[in-house]
Amino acid sequence: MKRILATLAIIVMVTSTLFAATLSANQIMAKVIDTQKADSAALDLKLTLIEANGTQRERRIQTLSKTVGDDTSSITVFLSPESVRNTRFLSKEVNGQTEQYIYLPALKRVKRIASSEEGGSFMGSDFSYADMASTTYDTDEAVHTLLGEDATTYTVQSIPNKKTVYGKNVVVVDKSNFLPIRVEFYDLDGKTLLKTLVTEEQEYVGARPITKSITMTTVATGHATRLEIVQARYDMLISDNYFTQKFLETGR
Amino acid sequence: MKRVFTILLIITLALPLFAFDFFFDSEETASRNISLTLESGVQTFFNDGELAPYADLTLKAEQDGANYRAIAEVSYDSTLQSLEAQELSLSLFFGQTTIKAGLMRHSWGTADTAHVVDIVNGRDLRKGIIDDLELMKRPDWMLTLTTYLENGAFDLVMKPGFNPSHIAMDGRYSMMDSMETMIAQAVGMMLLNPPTIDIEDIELKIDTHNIKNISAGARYRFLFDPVDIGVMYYTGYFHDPGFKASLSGGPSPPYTLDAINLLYTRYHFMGLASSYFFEPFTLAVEGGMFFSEDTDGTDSSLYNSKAAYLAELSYTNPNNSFFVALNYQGQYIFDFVDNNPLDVDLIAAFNGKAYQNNFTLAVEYPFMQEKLKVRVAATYQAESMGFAVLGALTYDLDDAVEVFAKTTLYGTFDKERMGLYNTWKENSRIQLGVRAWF
Repeated sequence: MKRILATLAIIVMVTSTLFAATLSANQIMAKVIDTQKADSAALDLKLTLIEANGTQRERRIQTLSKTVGDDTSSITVFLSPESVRNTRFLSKEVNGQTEQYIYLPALKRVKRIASSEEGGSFMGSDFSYADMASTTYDTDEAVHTLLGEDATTYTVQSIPNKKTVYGKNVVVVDKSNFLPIRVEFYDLDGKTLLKTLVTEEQEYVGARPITKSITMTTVATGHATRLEIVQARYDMLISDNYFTQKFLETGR
Repeated sequence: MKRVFTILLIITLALPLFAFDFFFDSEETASRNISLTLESGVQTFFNDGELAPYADLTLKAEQDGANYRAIAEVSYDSTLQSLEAQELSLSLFFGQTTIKAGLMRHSWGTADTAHVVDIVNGRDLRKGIIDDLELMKRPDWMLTLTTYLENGAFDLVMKPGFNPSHIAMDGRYSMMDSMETMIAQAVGMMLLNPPTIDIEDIELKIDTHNIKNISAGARYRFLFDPVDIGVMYYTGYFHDPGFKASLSGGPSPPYTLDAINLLYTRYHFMGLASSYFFEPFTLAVEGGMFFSEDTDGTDSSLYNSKAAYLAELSYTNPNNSFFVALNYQGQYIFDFVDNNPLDVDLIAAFNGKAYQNNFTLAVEYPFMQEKLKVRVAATYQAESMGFAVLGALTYDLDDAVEVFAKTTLYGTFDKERMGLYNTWKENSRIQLGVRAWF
């Protein structure tokens, strides 16, 4: 019996290795996207802004997101620092068009604001709004090329079809769970390295692998931002009531 | 004030802070937050070189339960030497409906830099013009009910009495000097020779918290994409007082002045506030009619009916939060008479005109990953040719501490014209300070 199990184990390992070895760049990136995809998510996040001299500032946010069809809605609540506490931000996709609203507690009212351009800094961090949505491109968004692989990782180059913020990304993917463990973001010329993203900690929420802690560093300034997931829940029922003017204004 | 501290004492234990119940542990049913804001610094006035150190403290306690939210916020202002409640409120949430009661500010309007329909609360002008529209409003006791509909919201507000505008009786920002002068001149010119009135004897406080002073209103907001529209009705009192001179003697002058009594004018307001978003610009308009109880404008002690209107174009850069807005605000007083110096409309008018036109430009620019912010706002009052300029430079030392330099300039291009900025022209100042959150 032992021999059978050992043989089966070897077959499984060899098969998976062979299967992995045959993956194309597109298949790898599709798996990367699939791994991170969720119909709904509730995330409790800590952003630490790190100056080049080591000074740190912390932001705490909680966000809910829900995808129906191709449209994703998200609501983000700022918990700290105290000066921005209870600021609430709603982003709604309606038939592919994004609408964004912000509730400013100091003004006690909701303002509609422009959809942030992809390169805009998120909360003064090194992450852009585009980075917060995804740090990798889907198969229909970029031309992916497998640059190499070793025992534990793939290295894929992604050149976006629409070069708005970056000209090129180089992604190192963990073979065991298809999470990106390092991403390099290049300028529109495709040569100048702008930012690097490094995964520092991974975790499993149920069967889902997640990047628990990542750090984005802007090369030119040495400024960095660490993004940590304090709590995460995925694929649960989220009421549409969260993505409304009522929730924006009342937090309920 | 006991009530304030009782509420604060009840809320003594800080619990974890959550925005969504997805993050509550099973045994947790409420979240609680207590924050302290300390602002301290020194201000110097250009005119007389006075150096005035100050320290203001705000304590805010908030508790959120499954169906309620309680807020207690008190502040100590060393300049005014006053400890005041800013908000003492309890909100109850029932499905799509929220009921909120207590001492608070309730905001109406769509513009960013000024409003003409934000009429529920009176003004607080005891520290001049400051860079916070909400803090320039005086909190009031009220009950609000808001119901959210599929494409809009309906809110009701009711005030059992009202707090008049907070106007400094003495000190730098007193408007009484100019008011006393005007009243004395008016009474002297028209009625008495020589004037015998002792202004200090005027009773400046009257009871406005009386059931007959009830105010109430309603607003309905809806989205007609890309335009959001709010229509509103309100019946209440102008928060600024008028006055009535009681005379005896006669039948011809000179008369004897027996008393001057303050009184408030009831009005009915019908208004509209709307904003049109055309990315990345927003055009906001506000306007309305104040129908005074003095329907034909013949009672000089009451304010006349008037129209107020506002238009504002603003732009926010989504990449770096750069903000700029240009605002026009005006009003027109009906049945205005400019030959009765006792008429409260004339006394409150800018340079004796039935109309007024104000222009405001506001700019905010954040630098250095939002650590450094520059804010400038300038207002020009056309009839009095007066202006106010507010400038601020703030720098975040860390998440909880910022240092700032602020300046406020008041002035006029024509010293002969009457207006608020002319009255306060000696109060131009610069402030250096630090603000910390705990």
